[in-house]
Amino acid sequence: MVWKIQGVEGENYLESIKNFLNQLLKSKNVDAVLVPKRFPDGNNTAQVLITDPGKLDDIDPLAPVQMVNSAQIVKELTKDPVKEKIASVLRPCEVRATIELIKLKQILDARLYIIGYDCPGVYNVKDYIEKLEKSNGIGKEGFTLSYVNSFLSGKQDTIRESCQLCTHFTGNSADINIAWVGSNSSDVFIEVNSEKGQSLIEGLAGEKIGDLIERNQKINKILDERKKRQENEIDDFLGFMQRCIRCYNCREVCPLCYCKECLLKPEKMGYSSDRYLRRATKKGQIKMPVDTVLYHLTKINHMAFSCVSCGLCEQACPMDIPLGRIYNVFGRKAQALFDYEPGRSLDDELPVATFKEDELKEIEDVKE
Amino acid sequence: MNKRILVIGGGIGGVQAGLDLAQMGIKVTLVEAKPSIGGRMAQLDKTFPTNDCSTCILSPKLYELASHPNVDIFSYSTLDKVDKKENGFQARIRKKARFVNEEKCTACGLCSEKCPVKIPDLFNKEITTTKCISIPYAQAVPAVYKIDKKHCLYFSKGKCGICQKVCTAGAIDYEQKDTIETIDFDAIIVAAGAEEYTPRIRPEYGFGIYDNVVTSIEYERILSASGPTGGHIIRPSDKTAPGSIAFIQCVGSRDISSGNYAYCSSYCCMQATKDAIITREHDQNACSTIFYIDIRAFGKDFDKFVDRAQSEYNVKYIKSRISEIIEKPKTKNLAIKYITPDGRINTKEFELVVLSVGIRIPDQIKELMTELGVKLSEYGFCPCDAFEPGITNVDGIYVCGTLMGPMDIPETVMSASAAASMAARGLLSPEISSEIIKEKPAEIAIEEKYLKIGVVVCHCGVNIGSVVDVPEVVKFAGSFRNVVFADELIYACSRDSIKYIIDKIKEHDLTRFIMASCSPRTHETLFKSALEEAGLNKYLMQMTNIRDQCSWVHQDNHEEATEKAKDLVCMAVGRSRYLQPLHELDSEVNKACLVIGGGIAGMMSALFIADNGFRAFLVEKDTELGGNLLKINYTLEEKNISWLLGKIRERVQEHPLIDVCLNTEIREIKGYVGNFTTNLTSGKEERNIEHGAVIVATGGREHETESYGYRDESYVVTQREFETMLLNKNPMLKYAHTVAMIQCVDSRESDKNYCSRVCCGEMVKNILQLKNDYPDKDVYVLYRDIRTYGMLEPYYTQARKTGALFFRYDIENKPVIQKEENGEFIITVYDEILRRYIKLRAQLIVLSVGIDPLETNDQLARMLKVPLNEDGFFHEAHVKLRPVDFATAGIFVSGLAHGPKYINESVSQAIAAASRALTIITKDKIRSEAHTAVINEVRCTGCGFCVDVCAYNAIEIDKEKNIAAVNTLMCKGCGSCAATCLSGAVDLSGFTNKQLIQEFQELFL
Repeated sequence: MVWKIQGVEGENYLESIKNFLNQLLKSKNVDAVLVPKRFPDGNNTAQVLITDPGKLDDIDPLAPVQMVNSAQIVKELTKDPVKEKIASVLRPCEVRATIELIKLKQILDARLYIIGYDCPGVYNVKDYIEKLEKSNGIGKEGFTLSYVNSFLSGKQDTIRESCQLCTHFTGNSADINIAWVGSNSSDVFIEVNSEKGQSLIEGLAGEKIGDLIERNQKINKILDERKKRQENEIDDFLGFMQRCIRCYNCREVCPLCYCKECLLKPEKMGYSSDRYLRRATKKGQIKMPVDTVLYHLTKINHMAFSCVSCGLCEQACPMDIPLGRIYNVFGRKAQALFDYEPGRSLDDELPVATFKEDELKEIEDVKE
Repeated sequence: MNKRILVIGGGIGGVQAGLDLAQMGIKVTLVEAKPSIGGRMAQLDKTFPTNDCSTCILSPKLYELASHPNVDIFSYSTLDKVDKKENGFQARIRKKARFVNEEKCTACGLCSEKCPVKIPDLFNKEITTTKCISIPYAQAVPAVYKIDKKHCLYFSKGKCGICQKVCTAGAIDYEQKDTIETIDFDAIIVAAGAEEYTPRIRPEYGFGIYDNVVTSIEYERILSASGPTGGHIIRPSDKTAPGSIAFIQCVGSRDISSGNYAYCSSYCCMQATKDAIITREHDQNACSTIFYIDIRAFGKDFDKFVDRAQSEYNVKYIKSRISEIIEKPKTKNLAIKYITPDGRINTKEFELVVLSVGIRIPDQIKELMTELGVKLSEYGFCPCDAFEPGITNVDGIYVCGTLMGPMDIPETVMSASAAASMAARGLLSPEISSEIIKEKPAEIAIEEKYLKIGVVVCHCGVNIGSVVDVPEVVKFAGSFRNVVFADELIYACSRDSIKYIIDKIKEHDLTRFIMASCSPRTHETLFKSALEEAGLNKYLMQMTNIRDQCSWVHQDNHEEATEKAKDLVCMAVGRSRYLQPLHELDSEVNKACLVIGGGIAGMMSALFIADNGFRAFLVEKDTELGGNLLKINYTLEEKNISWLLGKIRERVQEHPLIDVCLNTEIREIKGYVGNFTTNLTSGKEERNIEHGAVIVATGGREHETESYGYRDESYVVTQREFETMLLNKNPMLKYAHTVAMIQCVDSRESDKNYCSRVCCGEMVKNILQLKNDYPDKDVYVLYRDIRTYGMLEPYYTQARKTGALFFRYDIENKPVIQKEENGEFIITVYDEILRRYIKLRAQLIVLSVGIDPLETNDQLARMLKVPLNEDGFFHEAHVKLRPVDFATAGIFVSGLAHGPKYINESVSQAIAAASRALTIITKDKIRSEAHTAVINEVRCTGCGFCVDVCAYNAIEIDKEKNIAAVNTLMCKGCGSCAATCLSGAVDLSGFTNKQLIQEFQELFL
């Protein structure tokens, strides 16, 4: 169901979003809002937990940069039960990671409201900073808005690979989604996807509106292009893995790596010195650090079903391994086996712990 | 009182009865005529409807029975004489000479390999041959060889003697004589079973004449991987794979032309369906056709199984009784003439024909029963009263299994468990604990000691030693760090070897021990006890199987077999480095049982708990006991149900050990096996009770239908209402000259796809009553399949003889009812033979509406954390061998809560549930497994995967700490949680990640 909330419309999308969040806080429908906000110097954004509606200026959820997958922050904010209602404004990949973490019982969602929004994609952090510096004159907000315009006109060639491959760029599985793609002006619409979402806009003046046909057309067009790109494969997995220095950056930024103590950390994966020598003696040589393939295969094995392809791992890799692509391919194929889509719904059961008689036919009756 | 019970017959019935009794603390002597126990079930390939391997599920029970200290098995033995004594019996048991010493035989098999005489293999239905000295099948229990004296060259010609020469264990004893033991017993359970019908009596099927006509049991052997064809489906004539197979049902069942076989053998429809499915799994191109009279898929989930056979495995079902099979001389194919669904006669050729043979009671068992004084029915079975299934006319003699009538495996298991608690009455007491306490030397603490590993490699006679280079393996084992002792033994399991091992452990101060030999399945207990004797914790032993894994499977490649044996020993050494002493946990048992539901099942469970001397709480939500039975007046067998019910209610209410809680609901059940606390509420009163076991007997209810105008028409009634109308001589009957009965109303279709089992019997019962009271009335029955299985079949025949007319309808073409202006009904139904719609006129319509599960099952299931099946009935732990247990220990199910069934079946299951509960509450303490899951609290994230995968409900998330917590008493050590945990936060003690990783590191790194 789509709603148009009265008094939200501003000069541009950012202002409209701000006005909407302002109403949420003022109506006391929520006690706090987690939303990306520009640094005072304007050169970057960070997730900020806001309780004072007066602090909503300079919020910038559409800025084409993602420092962390905010599901990690939501996890930190909701690990213990609290009385206050928190609305978290998340990119779709963050929404989906949050839903996975709820299923994995790492997020207590009783007081959590998930607000998604149409995501235009992001640059790599380095590219973002570079482009921001070069854009002197249009202002920090102007940079975001001009990026949004280029997204709408289909020109956004240098965004991160995982964003280029992304087919879930609207927050349909969030409690509500702030929809702006396909809106003719700077207006935003509120798509309500759950009962919780409905309670979020309780008491706000607004009206239900019908299907946004233009929006759907626009979205489908982008989806078609991206699905074509998804047909890629990984041609040289072992080659890429050779580059790995086991720095664990990919693990640190991954929103779905939820273990408290990683089994793959050096002291767990390491060996006594004589074993390294024995291994070297067996083959004449071994590459150090050892077991980089084992490390990645184990990591993939652990979170392929829940991988939301946010691409943070790739952004964090100092060796430029295309991890976003690698996880996207592994994840997509593993998920397809069980008709599972991470973050699609809280009602979908995680395939790891569910048995269905008719699943995995592929590995049955293999005859010659 | 010696508290010993004689169990006659070592099939699954005898095995289950023996196990239940042994676990209750009663000594059991089991006598089996064949050289090994296991019975028919050991000969089956798979079991329906889950297609579990029959041997795989059976053999653990056989080993459990054979190794139970309360059990003595007399195999290859017969009963010479049974005398009735005061308070019991005295039996003379003849143990026939095997000419092999049972104590010495290690089942290495060398004798059989070298024996020059081939004889027909009876276990494999003579499809192949075996040796004159042999064991029936690889997993046979006891694993002792036997010489067939008749064919043995030593006995017939006085020469040969090869087996004695090659037997390094010195087990062959040509001088062995029959031995006779006379033993006193308190009671006898006869579980002698039945045999299959021999189709030779039916020459028209050509069995024994045509090569490619086999019986269903022969076909089971052909399907079996360990069978005569090595699991390849090949037909006898030319050893080729048959592309088309016909199953002919009801051979020796529902048949009075070749003898007194008027009954239905009950299981054959499902057996044929299963075999057809497995055939297709073997060969994607094989097509099976089943020629049947009625498909009797009346059991739990059976209809779904038949549906799958048709939709997924291309099995064709043709309703036609086959009168003749003709062999084509050239191809040896078999031509079958049958009637097509539209009434034409057709002939089709098949490459193989399987006769689904029924069962009957063999003459020697009839003779035995006669000697025991037990009365048999005209068909040779031992009939029992509905409320006393298993109780014979002779005091102290009980029966179970197919001796009572045709039944499948789970029913046999239920009846066997039931017989156990019937026979145990008077022998149990809450004061005497049934757990077995073994004295053992004090355990040496190893923590302070150096790691010293000992390795013994066994030759197993020549079984291992002739293939694997044992001295080489010993030398290799001795080269490892911390291995301080390595040696070889010819038979590590012999008595002197065990003593040698104990001495060496002490001498070298060993802290770990590795046994490289045979299968832990058969020998681990023995070697563990050696460690205990030596003062070591028994879990410090690591066994590795270099017989099955090396010398057996690689017997043609000695070198590689030796290499593999070395690898396995290497891994065992690695693993043993991290073995730790483990201890079982003891927990006190509350010696009472909660029975939920005061219907017939609940009452019978409570009675048998109480009759055995234990307290039962019987909780009923209504204001009176009786449940569904209050609405039933008579059955086919029992004419006065309400009188019988009254007697039982009286016994229950007056029993000093039964606490009847009427008008009571269960608010909460907490705890685990042996220690449950339940909160009961009755009105405003509330109380907590404590008990050690739970029996769920909540029942079911008559389905409420809206079909066929039942809601609006007073002349459309259910069978149950019709029964009461007959009893009360309802005036409506005067008006109704013609009665039409519709079977399977709302059943066996989309959202209620199961058979309610009892409706066909109800229909037959009401027809017989109607025709008895009003012979002039006409009856039409509209049915899909008539499922009067077992001993109900003769009643069906009788009903047909009364002149009732039966019309078969198809689910796609259900009958349609129209009401005329004069109040009569016109029923339109499609007749397949006439290929047109026909109209029947009737004044009264009787609907068979079937049984629904209770809606409240879901709530109770969640409280007990036990599963429901997709239809909403409680789902037992295993459909074949644990039909009254739940996977969660200490909780049992009986009656309609488990699925639709007749009164006698409910009663049997209820008494079985009492037996199973008694195996727990007869103990003072229950012992946990030693191998249980252990949570690493630092690593656990509380994600709950382990909770989801635990089949035993042994794990919960501790809400305070948000980490998983294991209930050690409920944990069975299956390791699912350890395998699932992504964070590596679960370890299975004795199989820790560290141990497993070390195994590989020792080998590869």
